[in-house]
Amino acid sequence: MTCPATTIKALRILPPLAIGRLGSADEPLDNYTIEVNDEETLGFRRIVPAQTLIVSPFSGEISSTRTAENITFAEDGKIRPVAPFLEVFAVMEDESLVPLTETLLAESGLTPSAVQWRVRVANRKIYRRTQNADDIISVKTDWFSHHDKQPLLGTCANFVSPDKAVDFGSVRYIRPNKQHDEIRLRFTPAKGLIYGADRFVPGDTENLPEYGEENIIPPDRCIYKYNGKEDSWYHFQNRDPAAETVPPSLYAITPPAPSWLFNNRAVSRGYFDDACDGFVDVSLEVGGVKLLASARICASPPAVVPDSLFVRSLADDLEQVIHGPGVAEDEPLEVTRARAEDIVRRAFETVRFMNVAVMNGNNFKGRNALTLDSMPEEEAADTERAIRPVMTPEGVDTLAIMTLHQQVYAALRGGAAPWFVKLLRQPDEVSDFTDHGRRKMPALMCGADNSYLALTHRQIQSIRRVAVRRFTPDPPRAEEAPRTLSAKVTPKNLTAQLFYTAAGNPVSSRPETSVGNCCPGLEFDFRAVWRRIFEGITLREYDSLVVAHDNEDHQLKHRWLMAIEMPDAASSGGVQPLRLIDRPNVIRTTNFILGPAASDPAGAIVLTTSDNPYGVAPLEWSNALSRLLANWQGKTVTCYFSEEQDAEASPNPEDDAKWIARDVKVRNFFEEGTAVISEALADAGELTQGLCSPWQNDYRECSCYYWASARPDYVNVEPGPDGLSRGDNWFQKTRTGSYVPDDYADKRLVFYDDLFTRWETYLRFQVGGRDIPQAPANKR
Amino acid sequence: MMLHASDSLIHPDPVKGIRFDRPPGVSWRDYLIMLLHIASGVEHALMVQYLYAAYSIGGPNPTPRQAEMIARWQRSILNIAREEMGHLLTVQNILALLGAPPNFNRGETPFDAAVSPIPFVLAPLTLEIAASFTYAEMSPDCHDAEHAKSIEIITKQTLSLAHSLGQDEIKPEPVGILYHEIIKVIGNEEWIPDSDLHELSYGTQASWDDWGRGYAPDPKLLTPTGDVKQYSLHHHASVLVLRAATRTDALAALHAISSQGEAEHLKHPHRIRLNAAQEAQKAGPEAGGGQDEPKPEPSHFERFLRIWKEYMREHAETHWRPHINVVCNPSTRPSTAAHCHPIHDPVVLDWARLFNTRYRMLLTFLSHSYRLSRQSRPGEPNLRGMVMHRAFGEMYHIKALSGLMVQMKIGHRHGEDLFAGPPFETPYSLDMPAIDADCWRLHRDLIIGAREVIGRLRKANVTLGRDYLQTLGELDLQAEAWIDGILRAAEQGKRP
Repeated sequence: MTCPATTIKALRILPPLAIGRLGSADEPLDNYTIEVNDEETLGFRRIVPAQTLIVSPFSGEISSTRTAENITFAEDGKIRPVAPFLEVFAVMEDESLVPLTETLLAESGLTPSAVQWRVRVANRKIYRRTQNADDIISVKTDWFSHHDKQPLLGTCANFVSPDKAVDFGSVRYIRPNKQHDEIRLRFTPAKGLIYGADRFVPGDTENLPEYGEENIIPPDRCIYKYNGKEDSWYHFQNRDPAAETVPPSLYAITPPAPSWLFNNRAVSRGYFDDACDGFVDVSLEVGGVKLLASARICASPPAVVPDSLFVRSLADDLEQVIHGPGVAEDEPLEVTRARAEDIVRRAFETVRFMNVAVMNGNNFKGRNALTLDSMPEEEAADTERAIRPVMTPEGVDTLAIMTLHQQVYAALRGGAAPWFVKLLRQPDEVSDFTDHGRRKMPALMCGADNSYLALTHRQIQSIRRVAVRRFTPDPPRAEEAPRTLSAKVTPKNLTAQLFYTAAGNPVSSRPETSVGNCCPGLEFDFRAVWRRIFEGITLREYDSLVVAHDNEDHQLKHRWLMAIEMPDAASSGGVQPLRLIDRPNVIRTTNFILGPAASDPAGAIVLTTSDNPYGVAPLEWSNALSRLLANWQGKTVTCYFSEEQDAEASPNPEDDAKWIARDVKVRNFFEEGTAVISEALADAGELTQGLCSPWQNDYRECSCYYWASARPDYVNVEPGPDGLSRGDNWFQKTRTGSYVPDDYADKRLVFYDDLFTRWETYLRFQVGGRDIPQAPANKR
Repeated sequence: MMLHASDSLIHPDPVKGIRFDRPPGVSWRDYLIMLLHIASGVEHALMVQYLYAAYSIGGPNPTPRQAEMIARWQRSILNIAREEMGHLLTVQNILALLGAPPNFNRGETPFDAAVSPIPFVLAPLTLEIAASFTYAEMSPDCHDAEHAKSIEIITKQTLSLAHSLGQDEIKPEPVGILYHEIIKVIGNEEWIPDSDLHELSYGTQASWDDWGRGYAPDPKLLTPTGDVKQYSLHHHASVLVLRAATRTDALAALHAISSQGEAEHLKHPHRIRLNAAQEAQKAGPEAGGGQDEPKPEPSHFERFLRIWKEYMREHAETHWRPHINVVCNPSTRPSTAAHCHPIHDPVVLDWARLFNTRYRMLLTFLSHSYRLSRQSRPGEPNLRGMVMHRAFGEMYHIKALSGLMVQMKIGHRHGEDLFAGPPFETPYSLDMPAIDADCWRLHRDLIIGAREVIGRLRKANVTLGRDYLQTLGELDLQAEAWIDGILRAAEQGKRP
């Protein structure tokens, strides 16, 4: 028999990525999952309460469990936070991955006190704008093994004093007991409070009677020290084009807002939030060897539509990293088919929360489409062209489009091979603004590159794979047919690790519930993960501008990464295309913005503007680099940089003769042997630094063409007497059944300061597409 | 129409082989409308025959090469069927231009049969069926030497098919002759004066934007001066849904759909090739004009010809059957007619009934969309748009149900299993009620009918298609609630 003390080889924390969600209620949200209701397949997903672990506030152990009858998302006007557990697993010598328990520790001659924890989290949102390292708010606890609540108090050099801190919430090493002897830690995120500067000028808040002339941030949270300098967060205005975010000025500004309607004037109110991201570390010494493992955590806004999933989630992007842009030939067809069905299902779950007519660029209630926020409007502004509805305006009612998606879903359930593959937008077609391009699916939504949303390559390939009729016997669609890949958690099964369901964790703590089209995102700004994918170079998260590099000799700062060449023996022979970017082993980082040619309806032209003289648009990294990650992690490739060093204008992507070539190594995406996103790619705070400061601001400024089923637009929707849909704007203060188009000056809608002061009241949970009843929203 | 069955539309012609004659007592406008009705019926009939054959594709134990080949055939035939749908809608648009009602009946009148391009039969993709499809799409004056031998065999096989179906009285003719006659009549300003053309109907006609579903070549990339920099690299089905405000538009539309079927360039250089060459010349080498010109879009004739040739080769080499053993003309009726296969299995019979109901729903939504287009306000979502999407939904169901039905065993023949297929039976009537509220009641009736059949199938505990029936039933419940709301509003005088 093997000596138990030597059998633990390594540790893992599962899940490797856990999402906490903010809320000020004392009691965390009960555990629940969601599932498709077999009796109502077109309905909303059923919220199924699951076993909740109750942690004793006194002992720190799991004192009991319960399964709620119904899930209550908010109590007394306070939202219940999602507080995920993180479990420690041991990699054994036989390569099995088993839960680390008190018993297993004992077999190794250890006790739970041998397990040590540490947490490192940060909020870098201010730093992302000011570029001043003294603006990083962070906390790194000491190693601890006690079972008391361990507060996470984020401090910052630019706070008024060292004892002032942002409360990022807490963690707790759960004391194992007989019934629950697993080694686990719980992260309880913060309340969702907003902090500010020690200075306030009347007029910083909205010019509305209900907000008066007083600072809406209470004095105990005015902790940022204003030093009167330009880079101070209070009254900060970005002057460095290389530091700009996309969308620009993602922070609370002094009225009037938003900035793009008022000459891009964006003066910061100096607000910041208590969201964060970072690492939980665990350590255990076994047989004289210190074993270490980490997981990532983040604190994000609540999942306000708990029974729907977005069409492209973070899970889709992470799966693409693990499995590459394609689908394995030996994957059972039933598994691929189930994934394709799920994508279509998520498509109608998304579209049902969009007022499609408005998002299509229709005029609405007599108001010009140019005055309404939508992708066509954004496209018109960016390209300096007239606005054009995407689809014919007569056919874009929400119910009609949702039903059409449901009919597709039904046909797929009938075994029909998807016939719409060519109607899916390819990731390199996102900036095709011809009608031909804009009408591709998913339609009317924004991707991480600020152009039209595309699915991941892997999602597209999944649909393509089941679209091909094979004319060989299909596996039976019997009940026992596998619907998902093996969920067995092993050290090598990164997918199973990534999607591991820790006991007690609601589904909203998982990456499936996090939006994937991060522009900038809600839970994470996943764009940030690609910034340091090439060793020695830091890119801006939303395009290919080099903002920093390790080797000064290379002089790459403010050059643009134009293309990446993968040394590919297979493609080196034969006649190569003339242009580098046309070669099959070369990844381009941009594509042209195409639009309709006025002179020829069957023609397209490159849309240029004075700001964008070559008419180019960046391509999001997640899709663009998928081929690179599939084969070249840890290997060297050749990167081509622009001759120009100009942070303001993207260079000509066809001018490859002058490009500067450098061989660079591609970093590994995950920490070795784990599904933890590499620390070299993103440090604590970096996966959320591109998000709004405070995040509440984003709910006001980002319309539903970003994340319709996560930040809904159209709610309480039902057929009206005219046969068309009717419903409310999610942001309508009073529900009337008559949609109020989004307008930053319409007092019928939620305002910035409403969110800053009472976001838990105004971000109303939707279940079954309807408001969950709650206390009146209009009283302060 | 004033015609009697005894009136003949076509007569032998020593030069052309066949010629059309306007029957006495029929005005030129009425004659034109009749021809368009016939064209509509013919397009519709071809479309369902193509669909049936496409869904039958399969066959026992294909080799990888055979599997790849028949997958390509299926894609190709389904694309042609999509394009036939475009032809059908274009014909409706020209009917609208003439002030005539839309027609979604299928070519089963004596007049239709008289000019039917091929014998009507829902049959699996046999060699003769492939030949007949090729024949139907052939130009009437195709004199291409390269294909002369093939055309001779194709003609023989098509006639043999007609004979085997007991339709010797039908002289199969390519569909092109019908369009030639329509083009001749509508092009004659004396026969069809401008006053017969309703320019304002343009706004009510079906458009590619609404119905094309992206099935068109990708846009070509132009330089800022309008020269061609790069032709589109991808070519998928080109669904032509063409509208007409004028005679010129109508002629262009008819020429376009006619030449999409026939191989016009087998008679003279293809129009698309000409245009492409002119554009390339205009662009010049600096603008990329030296790049390869796009190949002309293969006509339906060429696509079927390729399938037929491959089929011939495969048949000669291996005798392999590239289709599922589906029956011909499956029917829900206890017909004793020859070449008709009544379905006796009660469960499969219910599937067939469900299919027929969905098919009727599709045609009813299509008809209704034309009526609503005259009542709807442009520029904002309206009921026409809702109904249009419903029509698309029913197309998807026809696809799903067809795929399911060809898996359902309904008997044996020569020791082999026989399978069902989508019956595509026409309903007793496709006329829309005079009052709009009654149109909605008709939709509701069809949903109620579908629900009854779905209920029977679910009660029978079917395994194949079980998930689909569940979801389809839910969709129908949603649709019924939606229609009830419209009818309630109508009763309260809110609309229509």
